[in-house]
Amino acid sequence: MLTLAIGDLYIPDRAIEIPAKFRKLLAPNPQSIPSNNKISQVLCLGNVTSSLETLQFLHNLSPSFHLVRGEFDDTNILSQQLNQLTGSDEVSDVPNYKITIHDNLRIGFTNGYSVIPKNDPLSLSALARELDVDILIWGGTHKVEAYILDGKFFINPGSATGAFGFDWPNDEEDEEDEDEEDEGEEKGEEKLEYEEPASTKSGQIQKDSDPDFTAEDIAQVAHQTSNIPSFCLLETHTSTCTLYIYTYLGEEVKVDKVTYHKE
Amino acid sequence: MNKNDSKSILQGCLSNINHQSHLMKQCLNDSNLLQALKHCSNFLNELRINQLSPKQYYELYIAVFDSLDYLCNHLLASYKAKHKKNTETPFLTDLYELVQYSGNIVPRLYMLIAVGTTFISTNNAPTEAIMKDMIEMCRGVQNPIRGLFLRYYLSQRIKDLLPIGTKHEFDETVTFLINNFIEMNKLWVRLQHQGHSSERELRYQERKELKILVGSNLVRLSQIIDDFTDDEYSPESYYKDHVFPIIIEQVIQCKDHLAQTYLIDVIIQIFPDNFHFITLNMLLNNLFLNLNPTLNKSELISTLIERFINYHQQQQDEENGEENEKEEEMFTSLRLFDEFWGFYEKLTTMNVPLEEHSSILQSFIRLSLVFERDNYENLNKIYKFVTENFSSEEIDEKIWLNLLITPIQNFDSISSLLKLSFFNEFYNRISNQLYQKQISLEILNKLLDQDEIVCDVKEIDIIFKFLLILIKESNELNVSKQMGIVKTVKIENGEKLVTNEFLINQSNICKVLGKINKNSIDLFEKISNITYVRKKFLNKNLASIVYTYPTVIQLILDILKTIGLINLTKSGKFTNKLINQFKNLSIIIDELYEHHQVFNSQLVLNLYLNCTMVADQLNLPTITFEFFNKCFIVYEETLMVGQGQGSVHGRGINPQDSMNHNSIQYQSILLILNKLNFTRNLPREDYQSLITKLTLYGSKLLKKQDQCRSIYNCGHLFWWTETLETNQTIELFKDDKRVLECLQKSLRVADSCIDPYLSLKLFIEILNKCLVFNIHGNTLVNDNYINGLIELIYNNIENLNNDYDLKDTEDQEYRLFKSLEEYFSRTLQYIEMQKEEERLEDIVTKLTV
Repeated sequence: MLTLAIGDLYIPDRAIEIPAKFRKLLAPNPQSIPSNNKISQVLCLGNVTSSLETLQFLHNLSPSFHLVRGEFDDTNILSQQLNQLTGSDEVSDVPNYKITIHDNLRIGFTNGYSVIPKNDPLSLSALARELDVDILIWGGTHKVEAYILDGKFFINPGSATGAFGFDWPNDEEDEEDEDEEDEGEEKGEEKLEYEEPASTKSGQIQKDSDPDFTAEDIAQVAHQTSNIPSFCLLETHTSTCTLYIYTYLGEEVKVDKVTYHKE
Repeated sequence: MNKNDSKSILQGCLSNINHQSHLMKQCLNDSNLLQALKHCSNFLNELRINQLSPKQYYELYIAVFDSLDYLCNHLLASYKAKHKKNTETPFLTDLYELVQYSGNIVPRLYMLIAVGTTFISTNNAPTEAIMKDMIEMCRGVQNPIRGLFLRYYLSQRIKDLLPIGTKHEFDETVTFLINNFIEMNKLWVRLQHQGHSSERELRYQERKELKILVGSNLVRLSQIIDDFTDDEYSPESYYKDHVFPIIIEQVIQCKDHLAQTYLIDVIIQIFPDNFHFITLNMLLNNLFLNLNPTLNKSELISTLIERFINYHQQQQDEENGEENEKEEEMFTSLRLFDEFWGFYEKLTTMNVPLEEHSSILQSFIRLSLVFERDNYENLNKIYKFVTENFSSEEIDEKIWLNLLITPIQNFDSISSLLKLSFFNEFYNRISNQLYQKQISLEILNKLLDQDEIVCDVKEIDIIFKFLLILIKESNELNVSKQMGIVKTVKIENGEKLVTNEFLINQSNICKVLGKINKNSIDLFEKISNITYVRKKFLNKNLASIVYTYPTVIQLILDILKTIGLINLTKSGKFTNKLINQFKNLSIIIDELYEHHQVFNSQLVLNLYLNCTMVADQLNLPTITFEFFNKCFIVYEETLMVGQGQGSVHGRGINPQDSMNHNSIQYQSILLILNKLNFTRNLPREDYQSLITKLTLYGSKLLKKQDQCRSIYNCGHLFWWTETLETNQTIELFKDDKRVLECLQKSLRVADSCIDPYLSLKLFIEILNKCLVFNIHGNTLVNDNYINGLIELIYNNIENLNNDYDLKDTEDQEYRLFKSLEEYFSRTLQYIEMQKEEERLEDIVTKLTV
């Protein structure tokens, strides 16, 4: 079974749209419902935030759509709009977490803003214990990651739009260490992305006699703060989950694979 | 005559044709040519019928055509056989004479054409003479349907035999085709006047079905003009001098509505674009101005203009061709727009309906935008003309609406369009709000197509002036919406309704905000532009700011974060500016809070909280502290008393569930806690006063479970675990005693719950929290302490086991109890797992009795 995990879109307040390449990938048949005949269910981690268009896009991807609340979601409006989309009279719920079960795997998902401290692996592990889930999907950081801890699988699909966030900026050195260790290629592409605006703006710099900021300054900060658009697909079968991590870097979609097997 | 009658007549005719055709074939096989011709004449007689509709007559024609083809092939074969023996065989010459003795004119002419064209195909015939003879003879049939089909037969038979070897032959061929076209057109037009006047509409439909017969001549003509080659021959000028004038003469003269509509369309479609460029003047001023007054010219003009536009776009696509330059020159020297405009000015002296004006001018706008992208003069001319020449009664707004929408859709730069004075003047004449809104939506869509909206304050004024109607749009619903046509959403506890459309529009306005100077490096200007939009436009409707302000605030905060991070590397060069900007930002959030306190305080809280985060990262502790104060005010004023969210679902609250709670107070405490926990730059006294206050809020919550959970989570405020700032100079705040106090206090609260299951659940939650603190290195929450807690839980479980004899798996309490036991055992398993990694080693997970 294929499950999409996606969240922290923040449209329109922090991002304009899901990248076109992602949209095409996710919805190969945008006119039909479901618009993707491979995905069985969509788990949305919230912070949609106020875009009916986006909600509809996510809802129409698969036969089954589940939404949990992000701290910036107006659950009142979202649940009513969901009702309209499903056409049911039952009030669509936008709770803080949900659990779905497939074969031997229990999957819990939540936005993560009420995990204290936010993003703390020990606290996430405690939550997984409390909810009795094998896989915990959480969000709120806009950084895609996946790891196995205490025999459980933890997945953060990041932000599908690469929306900006207000958390502490990345520790530059750490970032580069990581890049060098396992994603040498990625680093190259990343650089390309940030240098581009710099070169296009160089004309403007010369015009201003004494600009407050240079494109280089801004690119430097962007390197620390900007988020890469991403989402995850989980292929679950009996006790195994194969995770596909999709990232959008330098106009290209990159896919990474991680496998988890429940003991 | 009814349908069935004509059907049976048709069947009779068809079977007779079959029969006679069969006999003809037999005779041909028996080499009895004369008898075969007799049978041929017999089936051709069926074409003399009057009672059939054109469609039915066409069926006869097809049957006859096939049989005649058989005859022709046979004749050609016999000719070839005879020709082998004697090259001078007079076989077909004789036959051409012979068939003319046939008694009736229709069979006679069909046979004449069949033999004549076969003769021409031998390449051994006096082609020119036969062509002339045949076309002359065809005049003998003046009944429209019979005549049309006869001539169609002629043109079908001869179309591949037309000689264009020499200039003379070419001239003759063109004359032949034009002649046939003229005669067919006359017959076709005359058909309209046949029969009773009550059948006029029927005739019109019948004629529509026959139009291709007439048009086929022009199609062939255009091919011939293209095929012919000669040193001194130029297709364009030949067309202009020898073809075009004769054809349009016919089109004008016939005064027929259908013929004019169809034929002009054919002329525009089948002849190449460059032909139209050189005949444009005549086409417009001679032809279009002299058409049947009831005819709609806008469609023809639009077809013509679309053709030019396609041509232009194709040319641009294949930019490398050398010929293009020549064509381009032709365009500019022609001044297409002026040509059309000159024509239009003449046209306006005639009585043209308003719709026509509007459609024609829309085509002109498109033409001008494609050919002369930067020439706004033309557009000004159009709007000026309309404003000056049509009085306000004549301004049927709906008709003129498209005159504003077309340029929006086709313009490259929306702001340059919106600057056009006449566009504005014209826009101002539209008084209907719905139409104004439609224009706004078009502009909004156009803006969304752009990646970035580069603008200054002036341009913001220009753009948002048009969007203001969407901003001011009220939540109040009008009648059509109340009828349930439009999907709506209840807000503010169900007291108000808004439409989805309204929400989408607000969302799109926010997207526009995000695109303003998106890639600019002048960050302060970016902020001031966004602020300007807010001050000048967005706050014109305070009821709606809840949809747009969050975007404004977060966009500005994001820019401030960038400025601030740069500031850190530039020894505080911008610190004062930054502080001012944060103060301005605070005013915007205050305004949102002031007007949307009752239903959106949690949103406001989140916005303030994000400000605290950014301010702290930028090392502006006083600002951070001020924003936290704002957060506490929002909490105390609104959230604490249970207000601040749109509406809370009336779902059952499960106190067991630590994640799904409907308590807005508890939720808000967690939100504040999760930010406060990540501040690093506040002076310690300030930090401690804030966290003490928050812990106090938690302990004052009404529900025991909320209290308990707030307090144990607040423990984290006293135990930082993550180094967040890059310089790593700040010592992590750790106060092991206060953490322990929190845990102990939460235990007391848990113990005081009346519901034993809830107590048990909270105990296990606290146990898990203790494990987290233990692993995070708090030595006061040590293995001993945890052992005590585990024992407490065992005791509780045992008590519950003894208290009730619960073994009924259907019983809800029993199931709850079991699930708590499982939770506990999962926790113990976890401890065992940790021991393998040399953690929690002294914890006893087995019950010791």
